[in-house]
Amino acid sequence: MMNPDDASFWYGEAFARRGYVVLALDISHRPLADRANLYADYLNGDDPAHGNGTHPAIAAAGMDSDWEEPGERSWDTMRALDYLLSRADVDPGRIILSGLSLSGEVTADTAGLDPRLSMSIPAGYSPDQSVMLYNGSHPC
Amino acid sequence: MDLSDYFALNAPRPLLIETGKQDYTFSWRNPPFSSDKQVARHNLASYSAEATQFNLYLHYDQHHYHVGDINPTSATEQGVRVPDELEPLQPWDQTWQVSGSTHRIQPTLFAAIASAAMIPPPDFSLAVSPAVPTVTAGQSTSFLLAVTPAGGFNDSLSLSCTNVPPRAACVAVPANLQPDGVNPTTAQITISTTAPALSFFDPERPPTLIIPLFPNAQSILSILLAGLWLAAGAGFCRRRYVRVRPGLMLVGVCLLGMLWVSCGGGGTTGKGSGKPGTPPGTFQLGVDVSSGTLHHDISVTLTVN
Repeated sequence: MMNPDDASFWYGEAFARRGYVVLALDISHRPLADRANLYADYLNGDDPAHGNGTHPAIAAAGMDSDWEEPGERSWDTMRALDYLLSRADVDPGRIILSGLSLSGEVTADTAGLDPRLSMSIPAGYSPDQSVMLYNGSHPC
Repeated sequence: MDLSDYFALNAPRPLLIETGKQDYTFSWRNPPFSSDKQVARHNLASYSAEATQFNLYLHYDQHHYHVGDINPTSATEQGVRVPDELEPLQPWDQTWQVSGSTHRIQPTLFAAIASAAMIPPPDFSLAVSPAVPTVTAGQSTSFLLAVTPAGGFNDSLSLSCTNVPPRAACVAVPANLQPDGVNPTTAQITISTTAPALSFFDPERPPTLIIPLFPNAQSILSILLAGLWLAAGAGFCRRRYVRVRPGLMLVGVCLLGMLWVSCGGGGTTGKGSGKPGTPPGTFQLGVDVSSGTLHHDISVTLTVN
């Protein structure tokens, strides 16, 4: 996400170039062993080079949650929102949450939970939840 | 919790679903997912009365993020598009994403955001300081024009003055501004006025040999009367008061001059002689700031003493 050569970098930069304050999250991932079943039909498996590696949630050491991953990621995103709202250069009435693919899922989940968001833009994500449940959560 | 629930929880906040015309990331699974567009269509009902806040934007690409005006892989994008219809072309078509026929609804994602969220599109505002500049004719005065961008506005702006007082000049330095999208930028506007200058000839009415001396019948009559006065005085003096003759002639010449001037010899327009300057008064000077089709102006009350 923070690598300018990565495909996931440029659209955050595009918002910044338009005058938006952008906070790019490196979203949490559980250890691969905890989600190996999600990769049964996913040919590439884990992909640390593109952020798809193990990242802890925003939590103090030893305070890991026992939530489902989407809930944990939404919680992390809401803490990022806390930080944005603490900044004087952020308009609290114009906060947009957006993300592609897995981040589209995080966007949809978090926007449904946190009314402080003014607008949400999930990209490349609005699949059937029933099929999602059948196949397991997002494989990223 | 189903997506419908998420979407319903989003209402009435604006929701913008972005998806590629074809996106195989989900549809290659077995069983395949419905396309993003179909799911979005089904969930329009979640927004109920706020359905207009629910926007589906489609770009031509696949599982990528598009903003419409910036693309890391090609120079120009085709714009964010929406499908003309959301039904699959054929029931067995597993791509079943869209008819393929789309129309452009917004040039960029940012324009779509502005439209959906009623966030002001890129724009700029103007302010001047001091708001009411004053100047004495013949001198100049300056004021600062501040251009504050909004929504990331960073297009080049050209400045010009309108309704400049007569015989005054207005110069903006610099004549073009380049906002950075965030911070105000300023230009100095200088108004130079001219003072009235005394002159025998009105520069706006150059004299000719004959006509200006006899501008109308009243002047001619006055001169004739003055001539008669002189002639009478000269005759009277020749007979009895020879010593006072030069004095009477001088009075006659003065009278001739006074009558000529008072009857319009110095000008028929009533302006008097000399070069006029910037007239005193209050003027609504305009400063025009434009960029392409976007244009704003601000009025400045200029007082000339």
